[in-house]
Amino acid sequence: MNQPELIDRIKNGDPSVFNDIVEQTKKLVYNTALSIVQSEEDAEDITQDVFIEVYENLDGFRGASQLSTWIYRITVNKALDLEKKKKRQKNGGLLKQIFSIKPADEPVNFNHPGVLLDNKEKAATLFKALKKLPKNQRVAFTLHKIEGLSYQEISEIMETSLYAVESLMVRAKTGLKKLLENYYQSQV
Amino acid sequence: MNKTKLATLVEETLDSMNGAQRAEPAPYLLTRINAKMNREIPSAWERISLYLSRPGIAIVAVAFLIILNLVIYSFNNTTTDINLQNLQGAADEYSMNNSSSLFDLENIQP
Repeated sequence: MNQPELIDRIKNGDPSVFNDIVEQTKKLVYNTALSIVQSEEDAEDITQDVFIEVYENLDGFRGASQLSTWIYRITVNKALDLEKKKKRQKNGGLLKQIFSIKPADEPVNFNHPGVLLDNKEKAATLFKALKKLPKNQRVAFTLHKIEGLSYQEISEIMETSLYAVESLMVRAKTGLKKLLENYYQSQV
Repeated sequence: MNKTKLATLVEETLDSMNGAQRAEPAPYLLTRINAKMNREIPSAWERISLYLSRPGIAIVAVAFLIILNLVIYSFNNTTTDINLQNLQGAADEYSMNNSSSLFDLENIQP
């Protein structure tokens, strides 16, 4: 579906346009959310919430940016919001900490369902290291390396300059290399 | 582990998502989206009562009420003391507690 045709259908109030958008972009939304939150259950919830927001704001979409860029932006924001909420719930609550019988949760290895069998272990290590990066670097790296987007597309999604994205990618790669080196050296 | 081997391992890890297939969300996504959109939105009162019934909030509220009671109780005690002091002061000023030297109530004889 091309953009002008889509905008025409939205303007004409075509009820099936939302269903088509969901069908065409559901993998994009789900996979982006999955790479950021690293939980299939949370990614499902985010996917639903993203499309609800798309549905509620579809009338206001005038095509200033690509539809996919808009949807990517909503997805990234929702995923980061959920992460923030979870972190707050985990850290918060003095009473919860005092009366908690269970020990603090250890980060669980995340196995991306689409990864080749040979790479499963390495991909799990990569996702573990990704969790330790600052969120902007993590988002840029995820969108580029996992979603395969160009720096230009990432700059539009993150509403930043191309130079900033390049810088984020350099810092993300340097940070990841350091984390992975430390991890593998500690495994010997 | 030597440096070359370590560098290769790190590079392989960084490229481990290459060739990965896109994951599929669970089936009936549209149905679930519609169900979530049609879910009844709780009223303002329901949201308030849900918020207040959280254990953390309830405990804080009870603690606040206990502290408030203690403050009011101690404040009342202080004001009672002040009132007594005022009464005592007034009684002293009008010599109500002193036995009169002018009249002897028991001896009514002139």
